[in-house]
Amino acid sequence: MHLRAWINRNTKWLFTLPTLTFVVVCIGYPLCYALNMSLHSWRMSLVDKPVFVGLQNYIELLSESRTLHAIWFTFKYFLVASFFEVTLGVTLALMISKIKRAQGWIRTGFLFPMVATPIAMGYVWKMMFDSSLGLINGLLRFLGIATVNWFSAQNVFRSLMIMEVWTGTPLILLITLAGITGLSTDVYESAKIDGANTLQTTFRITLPLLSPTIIMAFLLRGIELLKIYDIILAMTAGGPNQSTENLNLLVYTYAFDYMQMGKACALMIIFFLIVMAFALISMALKKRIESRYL
Amino acid sequence: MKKLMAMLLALAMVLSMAACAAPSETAETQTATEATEETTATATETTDKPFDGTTITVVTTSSGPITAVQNNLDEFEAATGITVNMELYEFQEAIDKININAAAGGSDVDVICYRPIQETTTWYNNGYFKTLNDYIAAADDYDYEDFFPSARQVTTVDGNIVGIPYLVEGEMLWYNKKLFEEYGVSVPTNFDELLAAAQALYDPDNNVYGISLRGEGNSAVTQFSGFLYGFGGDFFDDDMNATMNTPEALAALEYYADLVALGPDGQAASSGTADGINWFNNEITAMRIDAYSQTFNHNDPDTALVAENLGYAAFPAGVNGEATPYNIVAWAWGISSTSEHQDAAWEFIKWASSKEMEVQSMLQNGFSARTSAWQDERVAAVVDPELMAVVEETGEVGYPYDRPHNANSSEVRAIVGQMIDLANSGLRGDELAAAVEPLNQQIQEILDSEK
Repeated sequence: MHLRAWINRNTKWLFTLPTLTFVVVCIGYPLCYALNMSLHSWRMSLVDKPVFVGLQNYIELLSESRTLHAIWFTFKYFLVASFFEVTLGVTLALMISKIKRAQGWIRTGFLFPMVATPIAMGYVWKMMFDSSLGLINGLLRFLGIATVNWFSAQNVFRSLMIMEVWTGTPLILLITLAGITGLSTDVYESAKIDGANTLQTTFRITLPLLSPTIIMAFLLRGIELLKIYDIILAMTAGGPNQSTENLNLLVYTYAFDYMQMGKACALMIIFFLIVMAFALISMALKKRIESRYL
Repeated sequence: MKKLMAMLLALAMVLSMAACAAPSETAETQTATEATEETTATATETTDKPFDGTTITVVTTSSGPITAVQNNLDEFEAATGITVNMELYEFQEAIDKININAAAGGSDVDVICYRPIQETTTWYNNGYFKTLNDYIAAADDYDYEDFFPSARQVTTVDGNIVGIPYLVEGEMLWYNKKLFEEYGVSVPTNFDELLAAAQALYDPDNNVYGISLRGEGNSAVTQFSGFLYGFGGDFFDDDMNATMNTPEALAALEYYADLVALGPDGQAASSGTADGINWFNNEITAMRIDAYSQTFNHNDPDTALVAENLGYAAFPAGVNGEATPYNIVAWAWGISSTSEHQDAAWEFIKWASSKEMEVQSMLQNGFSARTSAWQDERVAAVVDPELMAVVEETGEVGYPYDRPHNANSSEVRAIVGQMIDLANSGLRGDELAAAVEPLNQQIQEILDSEK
């Protein structure tokens, strides 16, 4: 009886415990370990033990042009890709929502880029962009058009974006489509009675009502874009001349090429803070939009 | 008297009983003996398969010797009772996996592969290796002396044998005979001729390019090394002074980048060997320079267009007229010091590096460090004599390292890789020298920390 009473009293804690344990063991501990390690200098390739250096790793990293470039590239990748993915994803979703036939097929078709393994897709696109053996330059050659060096310093970002948008747009599209399906028809009927045309209903009704959904899709995709690693690794490995090296690739380089675990952890913490800030800002934005429109 | 008779009769009776009992007793003894023999037989069988039921994990990368191992693994497993869990990774991933396992004191990995030039010092200092001296001394038919002396030397530290070399490789040149004929180019024998040949074969309008070379810096370091030595340079000198800022090293960087630029568009950013292999195999590039252990990528007509026109040539001579390719032990087997199945791991290594398996490796385009494998008739019958000659020549003149060979080799390699990237990005002359200087200083700091 005592046990049952105790369980009844502590049900909320008992249900929370597994999740709490998971968070502490799998997220909390590694994070604290990384935080501690980021304050040490430790070359994993040597037998020497980690030496406490305070904030030296952070200071060194943030004064190196390579790190600053990696931070800049991380944001550039995120901003450009999310702009195109959200714009294209929402536009396509609005268009597809008007199509009455074969919705299932269309949705399934757009799922393909999402379910494909990123690293494999990276290699496939790399082959397609290959200057001599690639499909794209092969077509250009066939049409008598000058071929393009897709991996030159000038074009490499464009090539990455083409692949990224191809991979990332379907997520936005599908979430937005789901959002559209969930919208109440009453509003549209009253708008129609009031004489609103399609353009007006789209911009004045659909998009404002969809904005929390779009923000949520943007948040999900945005975090992925900030963390992107596999696609860049497969396509360019950060080259040429480290011009496509983002924070994630740089962390890997410090950890496993240079074996400098202290610096890698410091960079990881910087990276973590950036993603965290983005998530918080996006959540705040979502809340504000929701309070305005819903 | 009666008493005596009675005693004699009693004795006779006892003896006769004993005599009657003898056969059954003998049978019992025999049964016991048989049982003992059976036990001995079982024990002998157990001795034959002392590791029956043991599972070992082997972490390695794809290459000819590994294909040979995989092809014959069933026999080994049947003979020893050991189950071998082969885990094949890309080069760096395999090293990372072993590194992390060892640093964490894990026992997930039993047999390890490693690159003697790059990992030996660090891993030995860190205690990652189980020394093999006792195993080798106890293995009667193994013939350790059969391995090339230089290969034994590079896998031994302070008299402790830490690895068994399983793949040697050296830098060489493959060329496409058909394209050479079409463009009227002869096989280059020195750096000037090599550059001239690559220029003559650079014909983007017809989708033909001069040469396949590794472009991305870190990956390119090993192939760059032959050029570096050919210009009279090195990564650092005997006193551990970084020398990548010397005129010789800078000239080598520029020359290497000039060659890379004569490959297909995008070669400067190409991250490894795959692109170079594809271009050369598909007759897009007319030459390729890399390790001769990669010949198997090019000589199979089913997978390579170039196979029928494949030519082999030694690495061209440097500016002083001397050929300076590297010729190294690329990969070696080792036993993880944290393994819980070290004896079984040695059983595997002993088999995988046995004379017969080394021949099998050669038949799979592996390049063995065993003298006997090179003398085997089966090998002579299948390996192209042109290639044999190149390998022999490379072995005679080759440098024993193809990358910085200090304790923090990976880090210095990555920095040299950055220098190659800078040259590939188009920097030349003073601009390149100015960009290389701080990186050379970084190498010096690492070397100083190791003194």
